[in-house]
Amino acid sequence: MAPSALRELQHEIETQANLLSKLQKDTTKNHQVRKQYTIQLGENELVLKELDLLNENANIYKLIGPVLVRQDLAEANANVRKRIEYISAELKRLDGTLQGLEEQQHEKREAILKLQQKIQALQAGKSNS
Amino acid sequence: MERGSKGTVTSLSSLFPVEEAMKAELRVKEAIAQRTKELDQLNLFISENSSLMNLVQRLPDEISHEIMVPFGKVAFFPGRLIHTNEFLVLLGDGYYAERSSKQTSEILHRRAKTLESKVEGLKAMLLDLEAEASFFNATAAEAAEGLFEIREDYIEQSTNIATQNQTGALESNADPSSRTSGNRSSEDEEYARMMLRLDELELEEARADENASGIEEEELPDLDDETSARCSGDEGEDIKNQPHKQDESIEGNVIKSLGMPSNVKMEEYFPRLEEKISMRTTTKGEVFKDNFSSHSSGDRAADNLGSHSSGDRAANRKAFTGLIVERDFSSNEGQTFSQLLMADSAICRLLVLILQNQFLDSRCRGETADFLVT
Repeated sequence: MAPSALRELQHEIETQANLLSKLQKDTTKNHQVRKQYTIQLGENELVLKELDLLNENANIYKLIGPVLVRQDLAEANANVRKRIEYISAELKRLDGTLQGLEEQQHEKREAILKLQQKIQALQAGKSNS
Repeated sequence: MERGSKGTVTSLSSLFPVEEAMKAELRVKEAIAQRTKELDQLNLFISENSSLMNLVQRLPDEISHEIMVPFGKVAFFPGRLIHTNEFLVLLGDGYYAERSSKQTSEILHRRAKTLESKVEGLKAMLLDLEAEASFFNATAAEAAEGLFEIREDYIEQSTNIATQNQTGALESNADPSSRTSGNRSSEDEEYARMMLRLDELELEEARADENASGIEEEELPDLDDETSARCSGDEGEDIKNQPHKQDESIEGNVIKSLGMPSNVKMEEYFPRLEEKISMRTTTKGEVFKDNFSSHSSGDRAADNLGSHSSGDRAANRKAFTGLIVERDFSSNEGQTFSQLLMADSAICRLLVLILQNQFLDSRCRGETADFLVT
């Protein structure tokens, strides 16, 4: 009985460890996406600043695929602002997900610890008996 | 030399294990390498930006330039570069703007400024990291050598206080004995002398005082020897009108101390090592506290004192020893007192009277004494 309980506990630990590693991968991916978004946000803010310095009759083009499409100053301004808002919202969402992931990681780690303790107790008990 | 002294000897390697110190050092070195790479990249950007700006400014010199136009991957053909003043500048995120040469160089200039500010930030970070790395390096080396840290309790009578090998200043042991120096004995005597003198002065004041309600004399009997070092070195001490010390931190007291009217209570106090002061708080004290804080802004001396004493206090945070004498002065007495003070240089060093005439207090009856600040 004791060895089978031991094996069960070890199985459980493995599964929990797998879950934990998956969570960690998710966290790193989240970090990367967040970094990308942060860079884009910075870039867009720069663009907005430059657009503000342009006067009305300047020609603005947007690169869509291989085509440079002529755009209006007002239009370009609106687009850039919308994009900034979108990116900020995405960042906030990612922050929330990251928090959730971290909490889950924490729980998993605690669970693993408890399992390990149980295993140790079992093993100690076995060696004593 | 160490009769009856208790001490601890700790090996540095037990405090900062060698491997861990080395690991930490490696980590910091990696961070440094990464930042250096980023710094290099930014520098590259800056140089590219400046060469581009040069080109942009030179292009409109001609109406058209004769050039070799690249054709495919491996061929060129001769051609002409026209519209030399029209530039399509990438603003970012796929947006281009048609600009003239001058406007383009302005844009590039702004970009260069952003890059430079980033470089500055990176350099500052790099400095910090390098300081950290050198610290770890030193600690690792010392731990490897097997340096020991010897700490001994301070014994009052002993004249030769053992110095210790304190390395890496990481241990903030609150034991004040660890900071004793060799001058302790002479300072002890000096200190005792000063205390006697102050006692005499107090008696004189008490005799001269007639106003019973306004007079309060308090003296802090607890003068540890440890204060002597600090007191003699302490040049800025305020005579404060703050009887209530229990609820304020020492630093707050010192910094707030400022001018006071003559017939207000005065206190001389030394920063105490242990907060054993039993000061009677009076209602007057509350009033003065407010007045002090309102006038504290302009006083440089108070600032000096504050910094001075806070520096001292950093070393001896737990204790406070001081002498607090409260007086009710008329200007004559004030003069006398200050003269008495001047007479004794040792006391002068201890007590700094900071008074400002503009200190307004309703209870002050308009008299102020001019005290010298020493």
